Amino acid sequence: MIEPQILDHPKDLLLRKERIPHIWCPGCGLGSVLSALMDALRTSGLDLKNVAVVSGIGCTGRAAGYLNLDGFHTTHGRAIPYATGLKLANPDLTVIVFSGDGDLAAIGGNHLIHAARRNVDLKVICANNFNYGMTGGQGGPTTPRLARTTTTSYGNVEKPFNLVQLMAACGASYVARWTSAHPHYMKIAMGEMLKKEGFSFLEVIAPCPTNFGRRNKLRDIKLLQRYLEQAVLESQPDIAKADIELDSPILCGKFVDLERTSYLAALREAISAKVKVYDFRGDGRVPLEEAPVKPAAAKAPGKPAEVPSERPIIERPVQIKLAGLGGQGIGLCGLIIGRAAAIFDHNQAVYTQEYSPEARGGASASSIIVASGQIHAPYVTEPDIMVVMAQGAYNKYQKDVRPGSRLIIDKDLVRPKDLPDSVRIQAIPATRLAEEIGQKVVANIVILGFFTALVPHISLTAMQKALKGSIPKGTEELNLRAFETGYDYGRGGTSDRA
Amino acid sequence: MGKDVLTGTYFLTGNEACAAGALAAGCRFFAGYPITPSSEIAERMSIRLPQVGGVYIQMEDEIASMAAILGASWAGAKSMTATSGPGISLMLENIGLGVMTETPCVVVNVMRGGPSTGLPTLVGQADVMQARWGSHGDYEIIALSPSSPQEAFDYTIRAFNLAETWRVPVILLMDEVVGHMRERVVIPEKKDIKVANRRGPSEPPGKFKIFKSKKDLIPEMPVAGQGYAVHVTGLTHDERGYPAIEWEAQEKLVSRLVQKIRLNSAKIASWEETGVEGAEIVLVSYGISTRICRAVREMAREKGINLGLLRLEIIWPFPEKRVREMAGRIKAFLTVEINYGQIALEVERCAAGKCLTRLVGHGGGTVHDPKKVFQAVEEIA
Repeated sequence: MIEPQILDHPKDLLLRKERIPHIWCPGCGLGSVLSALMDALRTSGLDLKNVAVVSGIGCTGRAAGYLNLDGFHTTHGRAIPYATGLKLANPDLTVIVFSGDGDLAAIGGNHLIHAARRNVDLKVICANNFNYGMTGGQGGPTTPRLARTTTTSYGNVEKPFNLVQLMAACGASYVARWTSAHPHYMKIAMGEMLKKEGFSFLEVIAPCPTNFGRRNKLRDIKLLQRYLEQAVLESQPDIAKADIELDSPILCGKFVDLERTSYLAALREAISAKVKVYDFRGDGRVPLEEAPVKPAAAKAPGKPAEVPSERPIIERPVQIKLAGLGGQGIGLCGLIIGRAAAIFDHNQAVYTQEYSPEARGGASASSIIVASGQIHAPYVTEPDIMVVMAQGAYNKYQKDVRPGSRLIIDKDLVRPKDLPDSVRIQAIPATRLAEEIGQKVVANIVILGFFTALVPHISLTAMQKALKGSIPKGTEELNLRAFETGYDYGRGGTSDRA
Repeated sequence: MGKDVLTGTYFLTGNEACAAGALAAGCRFFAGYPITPSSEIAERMSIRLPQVGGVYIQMEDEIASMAAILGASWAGAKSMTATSGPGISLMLENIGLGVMTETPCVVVNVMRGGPSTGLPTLVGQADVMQARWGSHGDYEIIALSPSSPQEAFDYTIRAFNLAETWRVPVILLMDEVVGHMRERVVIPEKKDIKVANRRGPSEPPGKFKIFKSKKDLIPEMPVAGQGYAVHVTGLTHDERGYPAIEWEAQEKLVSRLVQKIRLNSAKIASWEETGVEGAEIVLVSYGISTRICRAVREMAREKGINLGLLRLEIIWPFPEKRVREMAGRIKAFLTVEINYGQIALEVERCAAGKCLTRLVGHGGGTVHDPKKVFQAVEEIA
């Protein structure tokens, strides 16, 4: 006797059978959409190990969990950015987003438009049933005008999204619409999407008899029947006529199918031009060959420097504040002082900056604390030394000049007033000297040289080394001359109380 | 390919050091959205990640950024995002998804003054409780608090290692000052940096249950594309990852999510004690406020007051047991933090009335004035 054999249905391989029966109602369109996707996947030739499905929340959101693939059931509205992370961290994956209209177009609407704009390589299937089915049939961004839902009892007054038009406008590579009454066309569209590079979008009009149909006099199978009757199938449908009203025709077909540079392709192209080897494998599983290190590393010294013999010992933390107008290079000055102390003198240095909302022109300050021991509080509160390069900055920070401190200024640009007698003023015509050298812009380096000559807390060697490592290539000569000019001016006797 | 560890001595901001630490830890995916005072982390990652074969993407908002790093983690990449006040508020829902689905990732919150837009460029430490329980539902998380750019580098590596080991989003709570100040940062040789990686599946696909935990309560983690057909959901799920909407499943899952951190808190919690032995008063602090407390200790020493310091390197899990022990033999805890009492509440709870507990707090915008903290010390000394 021949034993009867029970064979698997071909689609069963793609289903987590232990999760069936599914949660969807009789007459719901979602089963047909899922079934079409399984057919498309089966005939796609893809290695299904590398196919991941991401869903948001809602009835449609459950789809990811019924497929025997890598499945991610995420938060409401966020399937697309989650999928973006999956795809970019492992470009070998084919990433499908399977979710509903409320999830993708309302709460997730921002992600939808941006993913289409970027043309990220995602296959988005949006089952549109015109309402929030799982939560009880409330109205949403695709609910047709005048339709009744549990939150539009008097008929919906809002104009719904025309999703295919929206996606086309945002730059999607592929845009199509079918209804769940068209399983064959759905499957063809999905098959095309699986092969497509870039962002592809399929809207499937799917009946929700339980919630949407019941409240709009289209109970049970009548809703599906209506979609079948109202559907207008065109080979070259006009996207301008794709609005959906309660009684309007539903224009179906393929609206967009273009060769557009996908996000990944664009990224690969842009970056491979600038970086020697570029591979998107984020998991480190693929060993990659070594390419030369970018000179960025050379900006800061690669090895700890030798401790200089003239390393200044600073018992008590010394607070230094540099002030000027935005663009005068006050920040760079502070940075060089900090680097000199922290890296080349082997002392401690803390550098902070004061920000003003203006990007340029406002008075700004950078502060450095140097010490041989630990520095605790990061802010300069009682400066021992102030360097001021502009009157505007002087006016703003004059309050910080305290008795007994040292004030270093650009003699031509700052007129100090109302100071305690005990303040020691040391002045240099930094901007004028910089102009004599050839460029006003190095006035900050002139004053830095002057500072180095006067202040014992940072060694000359350290300052020179830090300077060299902090200025743009090609400007070394000019900057070194500026530094020397300031330094010599300081060594040649300074004019107190200028 | 470029080097992921640029060994050397640098003068870096905390934000730059954090990015360097991320790369050294193996981070290869960053998704973010610009926000002061954290943007320099994103800027640095956008330059550095392509050099080492990773991906940087600027998303449309912080919600998307957080979702993207979860996706990337499940694709096998170590992933990170960085943000501040308003941005971290937007990320919370997906941090909860990360907790529920045990997704390793690092979220940097460079804290600024709040609530709301608050003080975008100035310091605050008021997101400490939010880091712990900001997302809905019951969970435990790990949060670290660096106090210098060097620690920003070191702790970012620690954050990745903790995330990979315990399979939980780890929050790096960095203060605005730490993010923006520059100090010497030493980046060691690559071989001297300890890097932990998630435990992959020890069995082939088939019977393997992706959320069945081992003795240490941590499940092994297969990722997408390995053939395990992982089922990952934010719903309460069973060991297969399948939704299980019933109290028994909730009890089993949520208790494990909580216990894997709580029962292992002795292994995770990390703090530093200075001068605690014999001290009558102990300062409790973290992040930038720790440095103020060190200055206060020096002032106290000059006045002959024996002042201890308990500094939280890791804020969550909180060193409950240690604080309980200390409470029995000291006169007072003084919590120094830039808010109106968050960790102070934890200290008070653990001290359980066995010693005085006081807060020295303020609303943010600057660090504490050491003199004012010292005044508070003198008042109870």
